[in-house]
Amino acid sequence: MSASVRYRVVHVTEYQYSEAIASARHLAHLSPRTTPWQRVAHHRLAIDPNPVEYAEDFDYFGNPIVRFAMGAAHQRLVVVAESELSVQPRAAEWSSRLDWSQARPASANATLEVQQFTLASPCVPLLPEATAFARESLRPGRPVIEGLLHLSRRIQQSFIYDPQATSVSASVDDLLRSGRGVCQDFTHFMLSGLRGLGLAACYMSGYVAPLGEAGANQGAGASHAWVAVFVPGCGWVGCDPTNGKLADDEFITLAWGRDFGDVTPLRGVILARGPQQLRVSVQVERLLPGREA
Amino acid sequence: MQPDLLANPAPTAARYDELLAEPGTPRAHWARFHAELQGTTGTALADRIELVERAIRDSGVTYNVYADPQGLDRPWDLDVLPLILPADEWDGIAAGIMQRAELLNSVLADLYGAARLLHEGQLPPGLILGHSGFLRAACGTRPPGGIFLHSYAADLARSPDGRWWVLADRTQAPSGAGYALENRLLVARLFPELFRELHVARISQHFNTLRESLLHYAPAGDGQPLAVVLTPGPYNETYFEHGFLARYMGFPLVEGGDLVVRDGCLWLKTIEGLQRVHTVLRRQDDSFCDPLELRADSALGVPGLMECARRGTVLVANALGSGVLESGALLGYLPALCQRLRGEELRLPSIATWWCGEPAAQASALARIDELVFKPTDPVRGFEPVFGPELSRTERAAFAEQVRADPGRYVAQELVRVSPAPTLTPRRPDVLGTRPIGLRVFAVATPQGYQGMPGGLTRVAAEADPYVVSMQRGGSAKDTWVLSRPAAATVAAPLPATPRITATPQVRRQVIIASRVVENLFWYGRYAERCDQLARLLRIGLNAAIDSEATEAAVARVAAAMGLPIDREQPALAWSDAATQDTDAFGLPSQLRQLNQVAFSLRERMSLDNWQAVNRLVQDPVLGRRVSLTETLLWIDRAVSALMSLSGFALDGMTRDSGWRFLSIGRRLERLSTSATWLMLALDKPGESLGWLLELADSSVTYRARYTSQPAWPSVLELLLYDEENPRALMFQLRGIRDYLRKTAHLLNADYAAPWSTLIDETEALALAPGLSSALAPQLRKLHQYACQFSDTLTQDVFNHLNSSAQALVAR
Repeated sequence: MSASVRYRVVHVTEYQYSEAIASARHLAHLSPRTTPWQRVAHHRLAIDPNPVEYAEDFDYFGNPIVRFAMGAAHQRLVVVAESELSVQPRAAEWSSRLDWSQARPASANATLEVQQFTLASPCVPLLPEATAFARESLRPGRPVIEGLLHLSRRIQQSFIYDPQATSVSASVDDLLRSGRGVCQDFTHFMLSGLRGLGLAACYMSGYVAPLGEAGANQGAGASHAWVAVFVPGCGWVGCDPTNGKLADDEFITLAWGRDFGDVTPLRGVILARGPQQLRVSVQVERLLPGREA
Repeated sequence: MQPDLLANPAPTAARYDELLAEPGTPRAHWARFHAELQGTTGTALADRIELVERAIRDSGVTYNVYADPQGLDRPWDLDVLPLILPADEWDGIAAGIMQRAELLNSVLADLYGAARLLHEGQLPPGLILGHSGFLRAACGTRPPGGIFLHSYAADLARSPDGRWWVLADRTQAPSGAGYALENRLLVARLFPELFRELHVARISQHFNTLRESLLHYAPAGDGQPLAVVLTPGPYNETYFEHGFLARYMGFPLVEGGDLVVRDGCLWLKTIEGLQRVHTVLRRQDDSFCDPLELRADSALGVPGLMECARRGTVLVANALGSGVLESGALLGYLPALCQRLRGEELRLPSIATWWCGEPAAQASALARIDELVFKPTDPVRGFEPVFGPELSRTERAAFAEQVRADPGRYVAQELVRVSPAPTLTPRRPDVLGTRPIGLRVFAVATPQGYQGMPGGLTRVAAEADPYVVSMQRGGSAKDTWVLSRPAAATVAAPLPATPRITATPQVRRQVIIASRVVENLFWYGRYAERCDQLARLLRIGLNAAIDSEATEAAVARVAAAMGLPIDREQPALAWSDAATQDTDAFGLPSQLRQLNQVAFSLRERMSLDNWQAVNRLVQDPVLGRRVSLTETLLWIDRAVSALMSLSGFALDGMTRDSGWRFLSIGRRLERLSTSATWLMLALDKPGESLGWLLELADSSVTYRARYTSQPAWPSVLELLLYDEENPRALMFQLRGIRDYLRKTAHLLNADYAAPWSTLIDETEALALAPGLSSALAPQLRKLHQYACQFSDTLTQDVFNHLNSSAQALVAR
């Protein structure tokens, strides 16, 4: 087995409100999930000011979540998620030559857990355009991994990565109309195409290392999103339409769900009249191989 | 004119006629009612219809239809003839809905629990897991007593062979039971003898049962549990019913913003602090109930409510997540589910239904496309129902293509030729009509099992629609009479006995008022007073325009100060328009409408009589019309006396709680600020006659009784400014405001009474000065300004937190 890669991640979310907020409730998907390929050595969620309620839990998909509530008046909220983890490379296992059409859960007698990712979800309507786009890559008889890589690259090449282009509420339609978007939009588009073809594909939320084997990765300064497709025999295979590659040990997983709405890093509801300012920064640092990893 | 019931179109085999067994012969259970009608003249019937219409207008029974060109509230359209069902037929329906409610409850328990039905393939996973009503956040929740469905309704239709079929299940927040009760109250009054003689089953017990059940299942707390009715607000189509239910059951009617989650529990924001809420009877869709965990774009919900429900600290009825069962796609699976979960036959069958997401079902549906209706599986991907028979050949082919492209979106359903029932509508009071009907029936969970409401909401199709019976589409409603057996037989009936819910101790608790309601009461007080003063002003102005120019000019200055400029060219017309035309925001019609709107949001706090008085005001036939001066004066008299009766209700019909005190503060602030203005304006021209001032202040009679002379300044000031006993005097308002603020001091975080004491002292000091003191006008201005400023202070400091809206934050 090849050596795992160690990372340190600092994810800072800062809200500046236009007035003092007396109470607020939040739901965070900011704690990395432990998976067969990812071990969390250390994780800390620091919330300033101190919340009056704080509870750790797991969501429907098994992702760790934190619910917290603010009680005293505050005009600024800072949430710092700090993690150290190691990621095992898996690409070697993703060598399946299975025809993509055989990877569909309908023909693979898959569990409910897998089947649910073949369905449309609130942010992922099944658009005929997306399905047609995906069909171009998933030609009859093509091995599934090859097809997914092909599709990821085509999405990367067909749309412009532009952090200014869209908001968190952008839809797959917006991406098609403007041709621009961020990882979240690319991922929703790819999910729409894959699910339209009957494949099980979920939304992965996390981070990407700034520097990959093939050079710099897009989207490293922010939280990242990509796709994982269920392939019988391989499990969930990650593919990143933003960087046009399979998502292996350059990717750190926070959570997965049907789409962005299931795994939004930080949600909240405040009682306020004015607007608020949001600043998010993400730093991913690759650590030197350590003995404990 | 005698209506001839039997002149109905002869019944045919194509439909089941509710009334006639065969041409010329009513069915046995209709015989008595029919005979009575035959003996009633057309005029008597027309009178009854009118009575019902008036009662509906007066009590403001409405059904709001979004984007209705007739305005927000459509009056409830009630047919005076009830639908009559014999006892044995009802027994069958009742047993059917009880079984169905239990079955659906078990389905929910499974879906949100072990999900065996999905694992075993009893239900297609795609149907449930892909449905927007399946709330993943609710998985693992087990509501108190295992009851997901507290209140359940089914839409029934009768096929030509006389059998009842279920067209749809209502599992989220079924509406209609409140309307059914309202119908009953109206119709039973029209036929009191028949109602008694036929032993019509009472339905009001249903609401008591619901009330007791909701309190019984409430999570244990300290003392008596508090239940609330959660409404999306006055713009919802069935808002009338929300208020009706709240009032009937004695639960506060609240909006999402009135509730807050703290420490895993739900609380109601009241002016006296937070009160723990144990039960929420929700009347809004579940996905809107929690913007934190469910739909983030919902401004109607309570952040954290889902978490409380999961923890079991609050009972939400019906459980969050129960909406998934409203998908028509489920109907086809229920017979098998009933066998699997209960080992018995489904008693009340669903109309044949296919979910096109299953290939075999899709094929059967498309093969009979011209006989079926297609409905959406999921409301978030909704569309108007498509009626196969109405499609042309090419349309049919195109539609089939559409279905094949996205089959999971479609549910196909057999069309029923629903049964017609006799109608007597206001448009044709002398002729008996016949219209297709549908029946919505209700059941409520009790510790002894589900209990059906012996009656229901009969819905009458709009003429043009042979298949669709929908209130949204402009149909009307009927009362539903279930005939009881003679007393002896009732005992032996297979219905479960009235449940004896463990009695909760009858502890008297303080009436709980949401802060928002307190604010509305404050504004209600202000608007009521403003309307009252405006109506008096218009009366004086209009009278003066006819016979006294000097007075007219003085009153016109007052009107201008109140924001209502009076055209100097045609004063009589201008005064008249201000009373009847809706052109000016400060005119009477528009002010009355504002009063009515605030009153509407307070409906559940008002007695029916009080509400009727408010409601009649905005429905006066004079409004919006140009009528003679005499008629305008008569209208103003009506308005003044109605407004008088409103203050009478406030004085005589309301408990002196903090809500009442804020209402009174609102009333007195309004009276203080305007009266101060009048006095200032009169002081500007001290030489003019003061008769109008006394009349405006409704103090002419007192003045004449007290002083024999013509109105003169010293005595007018004595009466209108300094007199603590005259309810129209400024000092009376000042003292009242101060006293109410002292009584509510424990609720307020600052000493709001102190500045009022100072104002009282200053004003009293003026009384000692001889003649018309030069300090008088500045003091009046100060009083006026402080009154306005204090209203803002209350709004900002006391009511303010309510004005912020919930904003969803999303950070990636």
